[in-house]
Amino acid sequence: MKCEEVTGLIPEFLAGTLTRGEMLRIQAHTVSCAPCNQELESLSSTWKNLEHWPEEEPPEQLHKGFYQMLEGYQQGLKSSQVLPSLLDRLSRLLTHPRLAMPALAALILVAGLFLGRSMDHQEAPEVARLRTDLSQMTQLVSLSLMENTSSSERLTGVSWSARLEHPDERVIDTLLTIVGEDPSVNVRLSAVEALYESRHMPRVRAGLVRALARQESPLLQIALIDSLVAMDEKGVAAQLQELMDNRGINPVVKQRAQQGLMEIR
Amino acid sequence: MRKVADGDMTHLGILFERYQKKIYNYFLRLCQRQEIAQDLTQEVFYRILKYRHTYADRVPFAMWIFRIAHNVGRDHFNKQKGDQPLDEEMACTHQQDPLTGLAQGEDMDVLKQAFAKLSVEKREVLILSRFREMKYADIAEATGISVAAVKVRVHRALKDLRDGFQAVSKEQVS
Amino acid sequence: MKTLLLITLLFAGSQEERLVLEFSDPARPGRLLTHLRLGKIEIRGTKSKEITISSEPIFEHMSDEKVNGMRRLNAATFGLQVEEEDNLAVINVASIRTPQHLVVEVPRLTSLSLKSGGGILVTGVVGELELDTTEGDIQLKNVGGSVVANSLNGEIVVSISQVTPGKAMSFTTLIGDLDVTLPPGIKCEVRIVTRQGEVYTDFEMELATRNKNTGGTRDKNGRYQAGFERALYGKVNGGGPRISFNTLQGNIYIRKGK
Repeated sequence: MKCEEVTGLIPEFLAGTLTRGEMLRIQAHTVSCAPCNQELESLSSTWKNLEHWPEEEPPEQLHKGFYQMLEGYQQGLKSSQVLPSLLDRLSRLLTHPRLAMPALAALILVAGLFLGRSMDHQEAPEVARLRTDLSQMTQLVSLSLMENTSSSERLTGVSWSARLEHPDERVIDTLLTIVGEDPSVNVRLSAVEALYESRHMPRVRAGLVRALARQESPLLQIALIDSLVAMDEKGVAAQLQELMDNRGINPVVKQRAQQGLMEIR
Repeated sequence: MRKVADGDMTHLGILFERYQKKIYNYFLRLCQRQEIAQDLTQEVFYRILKYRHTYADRVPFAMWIFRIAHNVGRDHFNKQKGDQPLDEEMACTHQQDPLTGLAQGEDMDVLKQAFAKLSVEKREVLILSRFREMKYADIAEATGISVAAVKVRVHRALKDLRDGFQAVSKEQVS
Repeated sequence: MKTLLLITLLFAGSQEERLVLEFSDPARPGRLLTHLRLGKIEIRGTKSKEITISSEPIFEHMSDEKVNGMRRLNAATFGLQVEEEDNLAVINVASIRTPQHLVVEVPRLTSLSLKSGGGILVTGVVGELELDTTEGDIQLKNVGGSVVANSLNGEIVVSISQVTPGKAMSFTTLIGDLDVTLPPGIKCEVRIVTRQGEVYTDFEMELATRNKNTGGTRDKNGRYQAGFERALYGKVNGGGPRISFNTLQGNIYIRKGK
């Protein structure tokens, strides 16, 4: 056996999946080849040393967190019961003119809307309590809402979020999730439009570039290209090239990608 | 999807109990930071819930869950890269844990340090093969690379680990 | 209250058969959902409480000498299945090779989620209308409620006689005109994007291009770029929820209804 052969068999050696014949041949080789012997020895001992790395018990918080998440999901499913009352409380509290209260389930979808900065400087205790209640409705509620509301409701929720002056991270992330995953093309488009309003945030720009990589709908691809080009986001150049090279892409999209590349440079 | 039978949810609970420690430790070794390991583990189970209907029986569940874990890990590191221009190795650095370091002996600590210096991909394959004892074919499925590439990576990872360990040990001695 | 109604119908030959059912709770508006990969969907609103479903194949004319004189037998069978539970009716069309013209009569107050590979026509229905088609036009006549429509390659012609207040709407197409008639008293804010087309309206609109100047930067070519909105915004009757019009190649007509 030659040295290269031994080297090639090292992963199997470590995994213990060598045949008896292979084992014998390796042993025969290492007896007379000091460098290979050394290599095998040191790698084996490193491999063995890893054994001493103990497994840790996950903290109790993980357990709690999981069951909370599950509950949140199931709460979302019963949205018809939970949401109207939450929305009711919400509408009674918020009299901010910009959010002339639309009574829509989809607003909770953009939960960050209410979880972010408070509207008033002195927060009324009811608002604080509501905020806590809402914060316990995790992303899981959004998920189940996405599965259980109509596009019209979600569309309305997203378009309201577009009017926020300073959307916080959670709103942005929710909107990015919608761009990637909402079943309705129109809702995804409206999320792109909403995100465009926050184009100064690097998080938004990076998120939209990633979204372009995963979109399959030509309508979305064009909207994303438009937005990213309008933002002059150079980071999209690689994507545009990919779209142009990919055979399966709609020709209208390819054309737009090509145009976009020229506009960015 | 709209109708979630109770049976489905309790099944998820069972899966959680069975796999939480494995997934947590996978991330813990990858990352060496408890809070991050916790968050990422949570994310894995969120995705399992979310994508439960895409699971096809023909794939062994263990492999499916580690594929999800791989993706969660990858997304995490990509996000890190996106927000700040940090080296990915820096994203999860070894934090000297004063209690356990002493209990396990300094060698272990050195090994962990050397481990943290490896690239994410190398750390991952070592964890999957050494600690999760996954076959190379399964690791290939979970990480999306070829079996041959997995083997090469394991080999290189181990070499780098050994070299790193020796380098740090030498430093300590001197 | 929650009864699962499952009716399966097998179409064979050239007979046109009909499926008839009702929503679980006919007193409450229901929702109809269907995806038809090949063919057209036509929905008609009626005063009846029943849902009536029928379908017939759409044949293309073939002038093949071999066919000459012979009549075609519809040898391919396909299955139409409708499931109804808790006021949601779902029509599943099993894999078909011939495009179908699916016609469904529904109670006037019904919400629709329709996806089709070749066109959608809806008349006389009020509810949340969600329409998606890849090839083919979307035509909505005398509808009410809220509309979310998109088409890849086709026109969207809509006439809405009454609108649910507070709901956003969206009309999107890649290649095709958008021709939307709205009630004259509607309160909304329109957002219009068309890249290669003209926009016409007879509504009085308070236009704003939202010139949020984000501060210009000079790039290496010396071009000065300032961030201007690329969309046109207009407030109608004081403003309200957003109605988006989005087309790449096509004109946009926003008409004031009577």
